[in-house]
Amino acid sequence: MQVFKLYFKVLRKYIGTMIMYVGIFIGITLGVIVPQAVRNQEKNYTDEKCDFAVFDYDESILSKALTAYLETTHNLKVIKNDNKETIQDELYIMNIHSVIRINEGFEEAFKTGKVEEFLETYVIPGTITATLFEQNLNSYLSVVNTYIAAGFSVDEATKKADEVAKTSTEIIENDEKAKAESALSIYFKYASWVFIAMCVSGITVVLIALNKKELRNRIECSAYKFVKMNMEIVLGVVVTGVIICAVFVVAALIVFPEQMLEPKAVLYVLNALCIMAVALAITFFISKVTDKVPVISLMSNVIGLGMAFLCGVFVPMEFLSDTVIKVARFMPVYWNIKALQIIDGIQEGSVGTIFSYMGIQILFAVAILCIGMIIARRKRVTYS
Amino acid sequence: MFIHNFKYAMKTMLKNKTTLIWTFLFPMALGTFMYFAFGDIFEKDAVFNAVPVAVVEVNENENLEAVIKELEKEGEEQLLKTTYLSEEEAKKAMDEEKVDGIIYIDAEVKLAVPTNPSSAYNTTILKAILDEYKRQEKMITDIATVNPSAVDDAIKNIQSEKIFYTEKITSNGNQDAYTNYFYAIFAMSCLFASFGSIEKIGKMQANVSALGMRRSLSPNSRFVTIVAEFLSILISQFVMEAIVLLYFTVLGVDFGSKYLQILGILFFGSCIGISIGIIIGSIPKLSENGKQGICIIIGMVLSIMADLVAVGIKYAIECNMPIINRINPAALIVDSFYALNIYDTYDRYIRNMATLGTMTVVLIVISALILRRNKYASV
Amino acid sequence: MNNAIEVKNLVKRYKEILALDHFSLQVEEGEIFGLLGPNGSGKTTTINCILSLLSFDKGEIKVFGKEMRPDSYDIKKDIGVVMQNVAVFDELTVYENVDYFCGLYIKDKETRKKYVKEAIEFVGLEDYTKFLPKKLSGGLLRRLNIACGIAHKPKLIFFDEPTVAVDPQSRNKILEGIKELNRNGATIVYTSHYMEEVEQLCSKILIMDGGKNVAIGTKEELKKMIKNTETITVEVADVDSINTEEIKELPHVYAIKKDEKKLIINCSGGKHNVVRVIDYFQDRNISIGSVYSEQPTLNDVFLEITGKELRD
Repeated sequence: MQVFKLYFKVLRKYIGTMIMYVGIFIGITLGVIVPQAVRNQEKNYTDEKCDFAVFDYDESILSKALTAYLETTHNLKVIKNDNKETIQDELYIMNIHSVIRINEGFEEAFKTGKVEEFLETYVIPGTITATLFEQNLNSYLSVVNTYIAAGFSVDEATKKADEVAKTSTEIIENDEKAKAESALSIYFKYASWVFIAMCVSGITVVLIALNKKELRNRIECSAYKFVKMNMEIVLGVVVTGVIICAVFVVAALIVFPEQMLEPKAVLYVLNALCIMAVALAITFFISKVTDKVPVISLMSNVIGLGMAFLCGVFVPMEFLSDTVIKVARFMPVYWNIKALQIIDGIQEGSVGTIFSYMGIQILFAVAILCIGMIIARRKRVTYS
Repeated sequence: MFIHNFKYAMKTMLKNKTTLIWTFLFPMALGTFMYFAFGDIFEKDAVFNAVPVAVVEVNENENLEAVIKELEKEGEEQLLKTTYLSEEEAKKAMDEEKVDGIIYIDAEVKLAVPTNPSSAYNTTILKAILDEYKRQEKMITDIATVNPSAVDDAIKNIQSEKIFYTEKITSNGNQDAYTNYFYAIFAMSCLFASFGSIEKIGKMQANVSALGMRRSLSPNSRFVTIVAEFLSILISQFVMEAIVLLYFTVLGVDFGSKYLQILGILFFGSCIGISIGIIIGSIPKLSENGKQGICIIIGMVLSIMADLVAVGIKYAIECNMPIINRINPAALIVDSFYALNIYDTYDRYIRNMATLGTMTVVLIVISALILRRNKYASV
Repeated sequence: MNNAIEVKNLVKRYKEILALDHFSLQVEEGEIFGLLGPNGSGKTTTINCILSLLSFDKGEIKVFGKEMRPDSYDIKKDIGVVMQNVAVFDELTVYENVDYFCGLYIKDKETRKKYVKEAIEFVGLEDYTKFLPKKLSGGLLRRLNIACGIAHKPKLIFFDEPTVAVDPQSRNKILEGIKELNRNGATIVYTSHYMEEVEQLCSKILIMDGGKNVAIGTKEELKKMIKNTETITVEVADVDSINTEEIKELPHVYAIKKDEKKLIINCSGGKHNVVRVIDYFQDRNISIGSVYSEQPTLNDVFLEITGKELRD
């Protein structure tokens, strides 16, 4: 098993980038996945809320009542200040959907009629959230205004408006609850990208080192059978892949214990192994195409990130256009995510369908492997 | 001596075809994928279009119908895109996600919502519209009870459809947050310019390569050689980035109109990438592969911290440790693109460029000091 | 005659290993100076110290009478180097490589063009000017290495094991080339562990071992240093039956060794030793095969002085 041991010795040298990816993935899991999943909890119908901030320079009964009402229907957040720059930044990164500034004299102006300049809303124009928020805001003020016109005082009018606001349309829902993407599913979705990135960055270099002409010739001249040597390398690669999978599965167990102990967690693991197979095949392929580290890195990013974007890892599949989906069907990651959706319960499908998707991934892996071998053979011929 | 070195630095740079092509292909391909992946996401996800809704008439309700007729009128103010269907057809349409809800016209209006709304906000808007209607109803009833003479005024007030606020815009620039990904691609490809410099620095050091040995025996100033090599990488990197910029623009990504300043970002971005490579290349006792590995790690981590794969990381850093965003070159590059796009003033842009420029100079000076050690303990 | 290089009491330590132990040498201008020693004796270390690439712990180094430093551009411009490892750009053609390195020394375009052409012709690579290094065989690559090192017509040239792994044709060309360079006025420092080359080429030879001076002189002077003046090898069918003590009694014979089917007889001084040996066997009717007599080699010198072989 000399070559097998050699493989791991060389791998140890190049473990750096792999560890980096583990670190990145942990960061993403904690920073993006977990919060996102918290947001996606299963729930009955509730009104969507916008995030907003208020700067009240009037501090009147009306302005306070307005703020209080908005707080009940949306999320009040605090931002640093109401400088144009700050507002712009907060809106851009979608930390808040709107900022309202109530200028001094608002209540007075409201009573007399011309009030628009005293109430400023800052939004990204034309967006859905802008529409919703402004509609809410205006609706409340409209009720207050009508009561004032009908002879009530500001104080009474706001109290009446609060009463009226309790009226709500009856909602008819299906008994089925809305299915939201579980955290574990998102975790394995990102994992599919990280697997490819990790394997290519870490293992390709090892394969190339073992493939260097002189070293290879020396081994080939020895009594070591050619097939045996290759088998041991393959074994080394496969073992690496399984270890990486295991690491991620264990991490999942730690972060999402209840979900991982469900029986269907097995399907998650199997699915992950399938995409790992694809990742290893891609690794092999790239190792046959080039031997320069920068090129490997660039290729791995194009393939890894490219597939991730087109197949719905970073951008949810629902948002991808039909053409993109058509193209994505030719990529293994797409089928991995489709399987995830069924396992998670978001999409309808039987266990059989899941297995067929896994099978498709394996087929991709085999195909990529073959292409890699063809390239390798052609290169050999050219050199001799 | 400089021109001679520069001429050959360019030659060796340009003859390394594989690396050149991939450095070029990388942002192009990634950007293309991203572009198609996002497509109209901003349009679909963020921009408001009239909400598609099915209307089922159970019993007559004149007021409600009048309100709906107002809201479905075509034009800028259109809020609803209505289709009148039977209950069965309406349920089917909702299941097929063709409508975001069903309005039941009845004495008491009702709203049916989908289990998995394609746009949760849209559904809430439907409810808000109906809520407003119901509240107006309640309000009139209430006023009629308390102060009947005021009812007419009240109704007139409602019908006047007053707007009580002014919508203000903070910027005329492109607000599409998804453009951020393209900024990040530029940041990443600038940082990956470090690969080229690693190789070149290795070829200058006597204790790294035979070539380095021969070159250091020539009567040449080390400084001149470094500058020549730096320029050669800078030129080719910058030209490639500019072409990629052109490509993205043709593809349809909106970077704003300040292209001259954007080229400035690419220039300084390339500089910082190359100088990171130079300083890593100067580190003694590290194999070439090891140095390239470090470049990859730095490039990827910094880019991901600038939102390459998920929006929100940069913001989280800004909230907790903003100093990182002030020195992370990827974040500086992304921020500069953004600042140019959104703002009319150049403060942030200039501040970022100055930071990048300073960092470049500092890194090169440090490398020059490291490389200056011409005598080694062992070669 | 001025000294091109003066090294006095050079001491260089790599951690625990003492690479150079109070090593000294002097190279006169116009010489072909050979530095001979087994692998690991410190030849390359010496060269690197002289070239100011390596720091050293003690000692003095002067090149052309001046102290050599990394920024001694005035000295560097007259030095050429052909190292053990091939130092060329893989991306540039033969012509471009030579042109580049020459251009680091010669600023004038016209002169440079001439020198580059001459250098390429000198090494015999005229047919390969547009080739990339990876397409050249080992020997041709070495020739390119040489061209890059000497194109600027330096006064002092260092050759560090230039013929390792080189085909015989290229090797001869290289050695001839070095002689011609010397004829044209260059001082040559040549290091090798191939004693035949050093013998063939060098006017003065310094033998070193373990970082120390062992012996110095022309090849004749060196050979005179040792006892052995002649080695006679006799092929005998039955080696074991020979009485070596008797043969040792022959005049001028001081040592005798059995080696499979051969007898190796060392003589010191005297003439016609071969005749006496042949007579001995004839008188006793012992049939012998071939007989040949050799002059001592530098290896013998080295062996006698240090007890080790030059080539391990």
